[in-house]
Amino acid sequence: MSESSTPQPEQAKRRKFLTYSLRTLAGVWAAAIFYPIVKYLSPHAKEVVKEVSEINLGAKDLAPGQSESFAFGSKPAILYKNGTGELKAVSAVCTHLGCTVVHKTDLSQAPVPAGHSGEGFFCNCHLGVYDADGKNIAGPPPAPLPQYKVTVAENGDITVSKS
Amino acid sequence: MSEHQTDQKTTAPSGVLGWLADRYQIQGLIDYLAKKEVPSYRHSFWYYMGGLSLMFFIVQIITGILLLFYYTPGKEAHASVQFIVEKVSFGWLIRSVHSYAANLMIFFVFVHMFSVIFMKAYRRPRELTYITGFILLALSMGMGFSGYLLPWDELAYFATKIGINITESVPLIGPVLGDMLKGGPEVGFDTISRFFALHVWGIPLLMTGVLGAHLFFIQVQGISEPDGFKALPAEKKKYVKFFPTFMYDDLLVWLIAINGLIVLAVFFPWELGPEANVLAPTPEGIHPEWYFMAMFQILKILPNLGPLESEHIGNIIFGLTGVLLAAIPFWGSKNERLVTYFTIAVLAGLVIFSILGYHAVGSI
Repeated sequence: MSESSTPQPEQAKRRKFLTYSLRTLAGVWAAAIFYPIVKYLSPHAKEVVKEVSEINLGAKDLAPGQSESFAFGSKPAILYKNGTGELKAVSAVCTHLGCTVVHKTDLSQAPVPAGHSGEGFFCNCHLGVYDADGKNIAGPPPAPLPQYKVTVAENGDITVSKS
Repeated sequence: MSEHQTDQKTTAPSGVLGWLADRYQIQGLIDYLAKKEVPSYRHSFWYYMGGLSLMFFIVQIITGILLLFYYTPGKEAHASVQFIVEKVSFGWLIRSVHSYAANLMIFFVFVHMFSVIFMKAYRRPRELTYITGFILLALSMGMGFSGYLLPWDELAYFATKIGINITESVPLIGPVLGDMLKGGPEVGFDTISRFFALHVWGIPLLMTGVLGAHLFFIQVQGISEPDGFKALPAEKKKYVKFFPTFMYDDLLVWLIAINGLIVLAVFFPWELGPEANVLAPTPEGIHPEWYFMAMFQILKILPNLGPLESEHIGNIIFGLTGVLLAAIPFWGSKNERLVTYFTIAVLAGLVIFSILGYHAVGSI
């Protein structure tokens, strides 16, 4: 194609236009291929997960210092009675990297790093320490454990809700 | 081709090769392989490290296919691994070999990378060999991470949770990527299916392609000769033929490695922990595999600095180190000494933080 090697201005314009159109088309085509794949991979396509804001745990008889794990929606949580007999609930998901914390009646025991005492929560992954109210007091956790509202009905049923 | 190679007469192949040579143009390939030589000197045993990594990769493919005959992803994941380990004849052995070979493969890929850096084999014209090698290291670690979840025991569950949380803390793409990996609101059975797909198809397919390129580059350019060897007068340079001398040496090393692998797998069978319980607290003394130990320990001690949470600082450190390591061929020839110091620092950091990590969980 010898005549196309020295394009006239008009031809050059046309060629430029064609090149841009072709590139745009290629981009649109790639996006049309890519978009369904990305959507296919996103988890909520299958079913919309309902956000749970309240859960009835039934009647429980916890002694002071005793705790129990339960599932709050899809996440682990802990119901516990603190030393003063108050019934409380916190999320058990460590605010650092999402491991599950354990309720401790005595933080001075290993493997909790030295220097802590009393009731609290501990994460075995990266040694995060929280006090009895779920407040982060040592280690890497950047925030306290979210607290939940606990109400006890007259029949003894315990309801935990996001306040 | 360098001058040390004496011209050889092309040998006309017979038998199957002859039959093929009659039909396809493979004479050039045969001549090339017959001439291929490897330098022989005091430090040439480092040349076996890449080959060893390759051997463990082959072991992984074979044992991986065998495990696939019984393994089921999803809800039955833990039960199916338990079945393999307890009921299937020699199932415990295959699974144990697969776990050990995974670790050894990553170990030798690391040794291979560090030896290549210290011997300056990343120099022009071998930049792409180095880069493909680095990608193979990253993919190997991806294989380790994705494979670790599949038995769905306690350790696997929390290791994956931490890994995905770190992924999610990357700005912008992190949350999207994390969701794609999890396949649901939390790490669960859907996550196993996704990791399974990546572990048996996605990553291995990529690895095979990149590995092909890596090996091709080495064949085209020949193996790198370190400065000390290059400076020798021609008569002092010793070479051995790749076929058969180096190949037999290589196979001998492989044989020793396979025996070692089997001794490990037989006498210290890989454990299967209790099934993961999403509600149970993370068990005491939890820690990842050794190749993530340094990162794990660093994440433990990093502070929260103002708006930056510790895992963000971790991401910056790990990301920057990774990019700097990957880009070593492009640091420039003036900075070769700096490359060596940097690599020594990285290596020292890995060793020190790993030891601290094992000490912290009470293993040392």
